[in-house]
Amino acid sequence: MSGPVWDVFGALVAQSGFAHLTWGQVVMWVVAFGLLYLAIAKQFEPLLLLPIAFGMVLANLPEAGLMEPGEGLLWRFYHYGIQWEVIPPLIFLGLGALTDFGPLLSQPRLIFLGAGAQVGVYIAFFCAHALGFDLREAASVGIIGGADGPTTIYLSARLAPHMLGTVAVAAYSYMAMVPLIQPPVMRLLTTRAERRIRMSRGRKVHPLEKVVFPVAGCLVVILLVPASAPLMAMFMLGNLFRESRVVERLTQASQNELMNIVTILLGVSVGATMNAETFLQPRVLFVFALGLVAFVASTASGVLIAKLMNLMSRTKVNPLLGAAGVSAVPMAARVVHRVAAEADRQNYLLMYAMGPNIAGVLGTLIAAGVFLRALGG
Amino acid sequence: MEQALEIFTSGVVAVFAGMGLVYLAIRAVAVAVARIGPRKETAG
Repeated sequence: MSGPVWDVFGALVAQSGFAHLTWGQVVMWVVAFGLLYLAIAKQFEPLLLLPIAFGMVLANLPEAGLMEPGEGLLWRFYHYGIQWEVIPPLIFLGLGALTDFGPLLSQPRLIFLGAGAQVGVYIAFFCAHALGFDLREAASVGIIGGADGPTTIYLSARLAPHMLGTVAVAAYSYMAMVPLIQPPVMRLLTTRAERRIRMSRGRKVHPLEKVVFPVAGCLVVILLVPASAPLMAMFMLGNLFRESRVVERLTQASQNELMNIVTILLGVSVGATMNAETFLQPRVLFVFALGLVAFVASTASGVLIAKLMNLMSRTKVNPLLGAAGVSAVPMAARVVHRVAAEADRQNYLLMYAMGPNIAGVLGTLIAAGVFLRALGG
Repeated sequence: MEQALEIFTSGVVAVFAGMGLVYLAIRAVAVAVARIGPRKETAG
């Protein structure tokens, strides 16, 4: 009697996931639980880290086949959502609908701070290549410095899909740590007197300018860097929805329902690419280290460009604003405001910092477009 | 390494050129709106 029962039980165990579980998968669960802890208990970018971490757990379940090409549910999300380049542009549609270009239009010269911060992207790219990453991988690592999650995912999926999960987790982790990473760099590169510089009031912006700008901006950027078109076009379309004020339903849908749905699909799909074979490698540590280099270099280059602008202009810019040129909207702008307030409590920089912060999004899109054009993604 | 340096240079130039174009677009839009637009204004 006991023989057949044991045979059935043995067959059940042999066919279960338990029998096929590897140490690598268990380690991946531990990493995923760490990310879940950061997302839930510490609220580190929870909207993305939580689904990414859960996707990681699911992708490392033996025999479940969720990432089986052509079959698995998560593979379908990944293939049709990310590989087909649907989800990141839709995220950008929502971001556009949430973005107010007013602070940028009000002080247009601050747009160059958004460009300055992108120098850090290329410094990290160069460092990554010098350390042995091929050009496509190095571009995926460098773009982390842009602090723009959807752009990082879009570029990485095109150029180095095997690194997608690692690069995305590094980007979102460091974006959550912007208040820790940026202030020491900002203090190191500025004097107290510079941090106390007060900005002159921006000009008034006509509502019509806000309607025309998404169309004009879209045209000039895509004409210059055509490879940036999918993200730039959706970003500006979302913004046109918002500023035209005639398609409130579409604006609301882009900002809320659509954005939330694609965020779920994006997070789970990215997490699902992180299996033990690709993640548990020494190179992953290099990606995280270089991601930090990218953030620091972008912050530093933004601040230094602001100082350069001060050398060339009579109207001074508070150089801390350069740090807001890394996109991380609106976290980097808040950090700028906080560090400025440490030097002068009456210096209210938040609204001014939103200009370069939004310019940083445009700059990262252009930087990604340049990588795609050069490396044939 | 040469190609990396080339991408580095062309990337930095393209980003500044792109932002320069956006800057010019903003100024052009502001001038055009001031000339032809209605006079209602709002805070930036």
